[in-house]
Amino acid sequence: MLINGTLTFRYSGHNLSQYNKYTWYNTSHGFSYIHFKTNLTLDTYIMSRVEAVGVNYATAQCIRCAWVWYAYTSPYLISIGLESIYPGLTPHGAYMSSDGYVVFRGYASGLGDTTLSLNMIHANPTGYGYDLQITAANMNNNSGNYY
Amino acid sequence: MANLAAPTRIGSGGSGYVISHNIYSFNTTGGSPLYLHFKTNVLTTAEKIFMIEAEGFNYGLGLPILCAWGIYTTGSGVSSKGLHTPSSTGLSADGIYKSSDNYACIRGYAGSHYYTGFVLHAYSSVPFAPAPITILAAAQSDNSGNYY
Repeated sequence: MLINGTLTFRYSGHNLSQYNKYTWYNTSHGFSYIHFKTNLTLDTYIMSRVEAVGVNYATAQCIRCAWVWYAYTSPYLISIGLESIYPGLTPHGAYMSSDGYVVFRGYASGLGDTTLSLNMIHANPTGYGYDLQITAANMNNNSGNYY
Repeated sequence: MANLAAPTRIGSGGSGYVISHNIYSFNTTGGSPLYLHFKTNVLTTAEKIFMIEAEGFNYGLGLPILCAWGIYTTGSGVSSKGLHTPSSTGLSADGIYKSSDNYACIRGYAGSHYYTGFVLHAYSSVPFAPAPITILAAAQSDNSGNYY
C-alpha cells in the first residue's frame, strides 16, 4: 500500500500519530545545524513530540532522535526532553523565533547528503491531536536562534 | 479499525518512498545458528542511501529488538552508513555486504534467536531512494561473513 504524503492515525477525530509529516534532504556539505520552524506559538499549552528518522551520509550514521516540548505561558517554552537512539542527528534544542513560533534545532558534525523524515505525536492531555506543521527549514552553522 | 496491507509505504509517489513499514517479517524457533542474513532488492550498481531497521522481540534473550543498518550503495559496492544497536536489544546490526550477484545485504547477530520475531522497515527519500525496497531472501546461518 502506498500512501502519498503523511500517514495519520486518528482517534476520536484527533490526529494522534503522524508519520512522514515533513521530509528533508540536502546534497550540500559544510553545515552542522538544521533548524525547523513550526506553526506553534506560546500560550497554546500544546505538548509535542517530534521524531526524526533517516540516514546521515556525511557522518555515516543512522538517525532516530526526538524533541519534546511544552508551549507554555509566554515567555516560557519548556523543553522537556531531547533524546537520541541513533547518533546521526542530535536533537540540539528548541527555541522561540523572533516572530513568536516554536523552532527546534538538530546538530551533526556534518549534514551532507542527509535524508530524514519527521514524525509527530500529540497524545498528551494538553495539545491532544494538535496538527503541528513545519513552515520552514534551514541548514546552517548557527548553534543558536536562526529564525 | 483500519488494516493496512504490508508493506505500507509512505512517500511522495514514484521512487520517493520515505518510509516503508513492514517490508519483511522474520521469525524462528531455532536458537541457533546465530547469524541472520537478508538480501535486499537494491543493486549495488547504482548510488542509493537508505536505512533498514529491525523491530521486534527476542524471547530467548528476553529483550526487545531495535537496531539499524545504514547503507550506501556506491555503484560498485556497499559502504556502511552506520550499524546501530542500542543497549539491551535482542538483535545486533552486525554488518552489510554485497552479494555475489551485486545486491545489498544486511547481517544480524544475537546470542540466541530462540522464538525470535521481528519486522524490517526501510527509510530513505528523494533523491537517494531506491525503488521500493523488498527482501529477496533470508537465511539463518553460522556464517559471520557473506552468505549470499
